[in-house]
Amino acid sequence: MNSRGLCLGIVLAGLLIPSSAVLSATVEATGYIVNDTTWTGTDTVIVSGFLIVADTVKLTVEAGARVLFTSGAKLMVQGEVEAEGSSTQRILFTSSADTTGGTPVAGAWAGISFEMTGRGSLRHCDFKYATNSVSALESSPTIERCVMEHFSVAGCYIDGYDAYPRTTPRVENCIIMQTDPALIGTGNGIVIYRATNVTITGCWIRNCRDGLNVNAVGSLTPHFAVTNTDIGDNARYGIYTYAGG
Amino acid sequence: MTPTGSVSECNITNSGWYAFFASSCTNSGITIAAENNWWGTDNLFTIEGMVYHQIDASSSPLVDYDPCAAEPFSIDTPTDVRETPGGTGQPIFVLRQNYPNPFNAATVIEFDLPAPGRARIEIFNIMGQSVTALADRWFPAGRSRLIWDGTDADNRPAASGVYLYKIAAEDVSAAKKMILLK
Repeated sequence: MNSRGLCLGIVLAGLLIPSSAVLSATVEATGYIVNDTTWTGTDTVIVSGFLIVADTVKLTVEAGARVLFTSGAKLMVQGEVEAEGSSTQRILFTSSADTTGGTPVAGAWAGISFEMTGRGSLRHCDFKYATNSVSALESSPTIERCVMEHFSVAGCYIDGYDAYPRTTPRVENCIIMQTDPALIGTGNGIVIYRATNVTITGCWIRNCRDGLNVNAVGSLTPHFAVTNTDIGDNARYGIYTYAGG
Repeated sequence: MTPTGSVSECNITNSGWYAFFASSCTNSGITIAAENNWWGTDNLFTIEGMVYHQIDASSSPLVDYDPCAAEPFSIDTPTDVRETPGGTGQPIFVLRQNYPNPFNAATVIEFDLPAPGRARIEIFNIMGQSVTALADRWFPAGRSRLIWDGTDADNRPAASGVYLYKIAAEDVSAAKKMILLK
């Protein structure tokens, strides 16, 4: 079954979002998004389970939107996501327990994952309480001016698998930092695996386990270029590279 | 096979184990260029102890590092609005402890402003006499960062000792101590 067919099959049981929909207020989302969709700046979106942006579809998240994830929920990007916040109207991705009186924990939701055909950009976004705030799995998103904190595994998790030429994700002007005293020294800032070529510039990576954790696996070797970045107060290594056999 | 890459013009400071660690592998050679970085000190012996590379273990890939940076780099505030650690969604006024501290050549002073506005950051000696004003200008909301190079208003090196740095913004002010050691 091709991915499109799979999408349609699940849409019937999940959420069917109309073509070029412009939603408002509180939106509940799960299953596949099979038509171009916009979450507006006044929306509060509640994601449960896996929410999958199908491979020919674009999800636009406008400045000011709030996206809350129930326990274990994940946004999987096989198509395109463009989340364009602004300096005064940032986009929030966090646990649904991150409310007044709530008790969110690190890793409460899985994160946003760009997967193979997944593409897009995240700008002026805040990520809290994810397992991996943003993952780039054999994909090349741009992550810019984002803040990632309270993550349990990594701020950014980048795995190029066996992609040659290597994938080319970019992480620019981001703060990746554990700010909860109970989490300082846990979770890696940026994890880099296998055949990817990562550009990191103008970031702050602080209070993590390793600032950068770079791993080759067999003949699959990552390349990374880091400039103008502050890597400080990390509990284990500032930068760790592993040959991987 | 080893990862390859480059790390340049970064501040790599205060790691628990090593600032830069390259694991052992079978194909030794120059694989990672770490040039022109600030390692939290300008003491070469100290830097050498923070970088695990071929000098430490011949089976390791070589981190070709050059500790030529004599002071931290000024890295722009990477984002325009900084959330507070408490997660209230609103930045708060904070004057942070300088680092490194004690310091020799230079130290970094960071502060957070809750809203854009004018702020004056000034250095005083322990007698309360002004040594120099680092800035007196408009700053954006969120985190900002200044570097004091240990010189006074006439660009002369300041003496070793305890100094105060003070920030005065719209309706708030704060001060902290730091130590200059030569």
